[in-house]
This record gives sequence, C-alpha cells and structure tokens, in this order.
Amino acid sequence: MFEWMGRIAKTQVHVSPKKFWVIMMFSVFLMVGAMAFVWPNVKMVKMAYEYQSLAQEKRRLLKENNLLMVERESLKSLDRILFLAEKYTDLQPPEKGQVLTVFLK
Amino acid sequence: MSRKSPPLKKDARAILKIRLVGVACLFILFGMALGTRLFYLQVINHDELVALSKKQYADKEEIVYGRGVIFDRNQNTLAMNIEVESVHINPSRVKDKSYTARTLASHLNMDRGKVFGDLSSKQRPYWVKRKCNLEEVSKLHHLDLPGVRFISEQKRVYPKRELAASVTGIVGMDDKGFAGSEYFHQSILKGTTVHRVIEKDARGRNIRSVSELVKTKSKSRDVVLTIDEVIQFIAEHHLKKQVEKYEADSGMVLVMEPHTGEMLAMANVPQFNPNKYQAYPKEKRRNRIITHSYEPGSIFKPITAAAALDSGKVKSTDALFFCENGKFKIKSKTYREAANHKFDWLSLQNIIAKSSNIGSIKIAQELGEKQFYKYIRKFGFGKKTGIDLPGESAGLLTRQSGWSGLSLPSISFGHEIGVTPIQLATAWSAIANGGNLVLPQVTKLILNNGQVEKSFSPKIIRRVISEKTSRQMIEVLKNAVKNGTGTPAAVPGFETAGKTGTAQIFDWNSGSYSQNKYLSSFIGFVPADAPKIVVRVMIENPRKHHWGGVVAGPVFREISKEVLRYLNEPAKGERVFFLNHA
Repeated sequence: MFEWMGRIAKTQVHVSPKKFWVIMMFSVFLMVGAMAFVWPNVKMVKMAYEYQSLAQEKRRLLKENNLLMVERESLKSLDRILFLAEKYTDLQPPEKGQVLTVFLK
Repeated sequence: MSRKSPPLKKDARAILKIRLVGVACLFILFGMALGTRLFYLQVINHDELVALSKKQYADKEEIVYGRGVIFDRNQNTLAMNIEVESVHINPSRVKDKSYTARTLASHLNMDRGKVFGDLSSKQRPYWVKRKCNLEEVSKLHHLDLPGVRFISEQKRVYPKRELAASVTGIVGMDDKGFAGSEYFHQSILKGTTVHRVIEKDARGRNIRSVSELVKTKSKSRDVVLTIDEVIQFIAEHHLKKQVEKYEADSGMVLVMEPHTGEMLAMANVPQFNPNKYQAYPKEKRRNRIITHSYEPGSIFKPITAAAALDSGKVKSTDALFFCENGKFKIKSKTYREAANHKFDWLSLQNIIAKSSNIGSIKIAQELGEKQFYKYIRKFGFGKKTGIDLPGESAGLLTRQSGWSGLSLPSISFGHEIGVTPIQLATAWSAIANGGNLVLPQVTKLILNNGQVEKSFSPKIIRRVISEKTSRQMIEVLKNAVKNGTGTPAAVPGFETAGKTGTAQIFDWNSGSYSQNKYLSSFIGFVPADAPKIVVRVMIENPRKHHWGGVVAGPVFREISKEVLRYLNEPAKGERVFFLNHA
C-alpha cells in the first residue's frame, strides 16, 4: 500500500524505507506533540479574549446598574413624592378619626 | 523489486564532499552568528529587553472600590457612588492645540481661552476637568483627540439631595470627607484602590491579568446611621415651612430617642445640596445643632427646677416661691418677667408653666451656687456630648469660681450660658428617660460586604437625677404644655411635656441684647409618660411673631404628630386593631 513511499525514499532521499518510516513517524509525533503543546495556549488566549470582553460588558452593566440605582433613589425622594401627591392626586394628611392603627400579632 | 542506484564516480564524490563541507561551514557560521546574537539578547541585554517587553505587553490596571455607602437606619441610601470619567491631557502628544482646546472647551463647558492657555503653557500631563458629566465626555470619546485620555473615577452622589445633608456631610474632589459622617468615618468609608498587571496583545487588547487581586484588601465598608429618612423628611418639611412663614433667618430641629440617645433627625434650614456644595457658603453647610451654642433662655428653667428637686432643696413641685410682683433687684441689676408679667406667689410647677424668670432665680437661690454648678455639669453642659460627628462645640459655661454675683440668677433662666441644641436635647432626654444621661449617637452600624462588622449600642454616661425627680419633672412639664405657655405645642391625642423659650439674641456689635431679634424655641417629649421622642425646635430671628410657643410650638406639634403616627403610636381615641398574621 505504501510502496510508492518506499520508492520515493530510495530514489529521491537515498535512505532505506525502514529509515524513512522512522523519520516519518518521528516527524508526525513531533508535529502532534507541538500541536498538543500549542493548542491549549491558543485556546487559552481565545478564552482570555472572551473573558476580557465579558468582563468589560459586566463593568458596563454594573455602571448602568449604578446609574439606575441613583435614579431609583432619587425618584424615591420623599420631597418629590409629597409634591406629586399634593399636586397631581390631591392627597392630604389624614384627619383625626381617619387613622386606624393595625398591629400584627 | 527495487532498483539499485548507480555508484557515483570518484570526482563526483569529491565535489559532493567539498560542497557538503562548504554547506556545513555555512551552517556553522550561521549557528555561531545566531548563538552570538542570542547571547547578546538573552544575557547581555536581558534586563533591558525584559523591561521593554513588559512595558509593551504588560499594563498596570487600577481597580477603584469607591467610598462606602451611607444608609439611614432602614438602609435607605443617603450617599453612594457612580463611575464617571475625568479628562486628562498630555500636551506633548497634542497635534493641533487650537483645535483641541476649542473642542474640549465647547464639550466640557469651559473657557476656551483658559483651556488653550493651559495647553500652550504646560509641558507635563495634567487634568483638564475631573469627574465630568456623562453627556460631556460621551461626545469627546468619538472624536478620539490625540493626547487626550479618559480616566475612570468614582464620584460621590447624594440621591436625596438636601435631605440630612448636614449629617451625611460632603466629600471633596479627591474623595476625602470634609464634613459630617463622611469626615468622621473617613477611615471606614474611604475607598480602596487595587492594582493588577494585565497582559496585552500587540493591538493593546487585554488578554489576562498576570497578578491576581490582593484578596486581603477588602472593599470599603458602609455606614448605617441612626437617622430615619422619613422622620428627617418630616422634620425638614415642617421646619422649612415655618421658617418661610415667619421669614426667619434659620431654623433647627432635632429628634432624638431619649432612652438610647439615637438621633432620628437633625434638620438645619436653610439647607444645602451636597451634590453642589461649592455653590453654598461654608456657614450654610454647618450642622449648627452641634457646632453652635446659644443662650437657651426659658427652656433652661426645667434644668434649674430638676436640680432643685433632686438635691432635696425644694421638697415638692407645689413648693411656693414669692415672685416679687415682677421686679427683683440683685446688686445693681433689676430682673423682670417676660412681657412685664407680675406674679406674686407661684409654685415650682407654675413657675415653669408661666415661665417666671424671678421664680427661677428663687429656685436657684435655694440650691446655691455650688450645687447649681454641680448639676449643670452633671447634665452635661460646658463640655462636649461626645456625639460621633465632627466639629462639636462644648458650649460656654464659666467655672463656678469665676461667677459674678449675677451669674446664678442669670443662668437660672438660661442667660449667661451657651448651650448647643444637642446638649440641651441630651439633658432633656435625662429628664424624659428616668434620669440617665445618654450618649447621643448618629452611627448605628458599620457594614462589611453587607454583614454587620460593628454595632454601636446605647451608652449611659451617668445618672443625673433620680427616677422620682424625673417623674416629678414630667408632671411639671405636662402642666407647662396644658396650662402654660406651651399650649400651641400640645400634640392632639397625646400627653405632651415641654417648655417654650424666647431668648433675645446677643448683638455683638452693640454689646447688648438685641431688642428685636429673638430665638424662638420649644423642647419637649411625647408621649409624656412613656417618651418615644424628644424634639428640639429652634427658629432664629423670626419676623411677625417671636414667642417660642407661637413660632416653634406648632412645629413641635406637627412633627411629633406625624412621627408618632409613623412609629405606630396610636393617639387617644384612635381605633386600634390587633390582627393575627394567619
């Protein structure tokens, strides 16, 4: 099956087919070993890029979240709520007799 | 079958050998050159090149954990942070200075001449504007101006604006507390900055962090105040209304829990917005409840009465004193009653209710200078209360050895003594809580990552008066509201104990008491027999009216009414239901 390789080894490289096979196998193992060594590094760098991009996204979202929290706290301001209650809903403080105190046991 | 290659001729072999030797020499030379170069790079230039590569591929990243958050007692946020950007410029990298200055000035709302002047004159990198608005920098980002950098910083934000501003305090540009809790708890609140080294690729993109974050450096811690946002709002709201109504110069309200010394509200009017504190004069930013001392006037009379009762010099609240029909001469000075009232015989109870100056002098005379001074000190006057806020004043109290013959009579009704509103409220808390002087406090908890790291428990400083005296004084003060000058302060549906005060303000220019400037005040506690709150109201220089009962009394009433409702304290006659959870 691989006779043609033996022929090439003999005519072109001037080595015996046995030696040629040894060289070939050695080269293949070397390449596989190199790949096994490089591939995780390549993968790691790729994942590091993804991580950095996600970290950046997280930072952006946290910043946005912080701004929303400020807005929420600002909207909860009692001064503003009183203004809205009086101006738009005509709410007034309860009179005597309108208040019920409920205690939960 | 394999074919054998023909044997090479002798000459050809020799040529091949020469060629092989030549090639081998070339390889050896190349190898030697490579080895020399490697030696030069790896050994001789090693340190320099390593530094250069680190500079190129490694970058230092600053992670700023902003200041801790300040919460009210129910964990509503009073002070927090947002991430903003500051504009930094390196003049040596700017290509077109005129264009850069024009662009920066227009986007950052700055003076173009100043920006250009700075850019032309400065050689080293500098801040153009720090902590810019988001809108300001967002457009600048797209312009990608050479030499201009954007650096993230934390900015302090007070989402409730003026609310409790004098308590929370303010923070400067470099995140250092300037006033209030921000200053007092600087070491707890201050943010942490952590550095880590980031590996970058040729395009400057972050790949990974080389050094991990220092785990021991925790984030800043948070502070929980005793202030209640709702009570603070109620106090500020009613105080502001009254100050505006009477066109007064200023006003103060303090709401305190008498048994624990916890401050529920500290309101100062006029207010200031801590987000733009530079726009207000320093005077307006002070928390005058602790920094300023005032002559208390008539609200000091109950202190005199409590001292006399507790010492046993006056046996009961019904003990009678002759009030000299409105005129009492001591040495060269003639003391009179307010509004030229004329009283003959008054009981201790009625001296407080009618706010008789001469009656108070008579009570103090029963005590004597030594005892009176001892009680004044015991109530905490003349020294700082120890509240956990900066800038507290000790007030003004002359040592007994330095008293003139007129000191005792004057101090007995609140003159010739300077007390801060916090001192007075603390002293009144002792009357309200059964006789113990408590340490006033504004900080409730310190949180670390949401977990309680430290809690501040109530602290009793000392016993000032007995429980019996406390009960007697509560009755006296209830009578002062029911039948005396404090009627406008009576809280509907609750027994109220309190006292009005109307003091003339000392005019430092003329060196005498002003005839038309008054300090109207009221101090009291409700419900009188089981006090929940002590409320101190002061309104400085009101126009139209000046009597404490008329000006400050209604503020006390409105604040107390709403605060008690908020604290689920039902008024008399109100319907109360008890429901099971199920």
